[in-house]
Amino acid sequence: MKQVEDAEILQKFGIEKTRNEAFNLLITKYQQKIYWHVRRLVIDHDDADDLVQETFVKVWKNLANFRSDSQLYTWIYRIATNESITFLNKKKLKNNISLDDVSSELADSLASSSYFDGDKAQRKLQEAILTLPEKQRIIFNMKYFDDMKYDEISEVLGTSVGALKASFHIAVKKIESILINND
Amino acid sequence: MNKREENMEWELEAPYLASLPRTTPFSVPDDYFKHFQSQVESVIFLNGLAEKEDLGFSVPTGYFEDLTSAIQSRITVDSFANREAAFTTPDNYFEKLNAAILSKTISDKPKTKIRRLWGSDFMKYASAACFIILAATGLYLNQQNNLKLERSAELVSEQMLYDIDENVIIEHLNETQTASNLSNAEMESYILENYTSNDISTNL
Repeated sequence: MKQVEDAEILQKFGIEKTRNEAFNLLITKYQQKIYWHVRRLVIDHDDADDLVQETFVKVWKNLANFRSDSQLYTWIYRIATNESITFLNKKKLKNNISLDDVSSELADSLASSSYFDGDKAQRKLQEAILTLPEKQRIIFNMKYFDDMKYDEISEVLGTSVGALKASFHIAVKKIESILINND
Repeated sequence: MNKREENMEWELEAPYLASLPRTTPFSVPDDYFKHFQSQVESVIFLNGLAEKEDLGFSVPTGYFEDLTSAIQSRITVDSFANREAAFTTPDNYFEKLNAAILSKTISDKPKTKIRRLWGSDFMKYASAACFIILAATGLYLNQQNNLKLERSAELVSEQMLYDIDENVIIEHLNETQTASNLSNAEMESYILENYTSNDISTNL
């Protein structure tokens, strides 16, 4: 299926008659990318489902105000990332636990998840990623799994490229060490 | 710097990590992405309805102006209602009450105290044995006593006979006319039968 260009989507969205069609095209184009990005952060499918739906509802409400000073993809990514971070923070506040305990909860969710298809090595990798601080984990996921450029990640997170590089390298070294030592 | 160059930097530092397949090992329910779009559209529709101020419902005139005082009045009334419940009962009181009443009425039977006369079987048999012994002893003693009385009575009557003079006997016999009607032979035989030869020889 041919990928529709962002410009075409934005144009169609601007016209009331074709707004729904444009939105459907947008969802079709980005739903899986956004879903997997959120899923890697929150682990649980149901939580990811709620957050991704919420993301696209916000896209629908605000797309008319999108100014194209960034890519449509990175703009949607930013909304999804903020929704995920807000969710994780609420989880911390709700259960009155520290960030480490949230990671521990996510690790438990990973262990008990029925929607996990990976082998032993992939499970170890996911567990190692969960040991990273929240923002570092987001950077690692976007670079390692989504193969995004540092510029794109910088657009999403509002962090400088230099800081992103440093953070990613630290994450890589830590994960490599965990995987080798626990092997 | 392009993607390839960016990746080469960290792949050299972490060769094991670089060797792993870069796939996300999670799965989704069947047909999840197929239905995702319609789900989002439903949520958007519902959110739109929720945001509409006028949904066709109306309120009485001045409702919101009086709402604050109505709520305050309700709070005051409820606080008085709660005061009546100043008395409390122990936990699970009413759940246990039914059973307690039944146990004291229908189920309650007068219990009689049973006091054993004997503390053990040994005492029972020992008491019976003592009673038998005492009864037998009493009977025996009574019997012996009766014999003694009979013998003493016999002795007394014999002694009385020895104490009575033979002349008195003869006179008695004469008075009663019994002896006059008797012949000498009969008298003689009477004396011989009732007196020993020694008596006869002594008294004569």
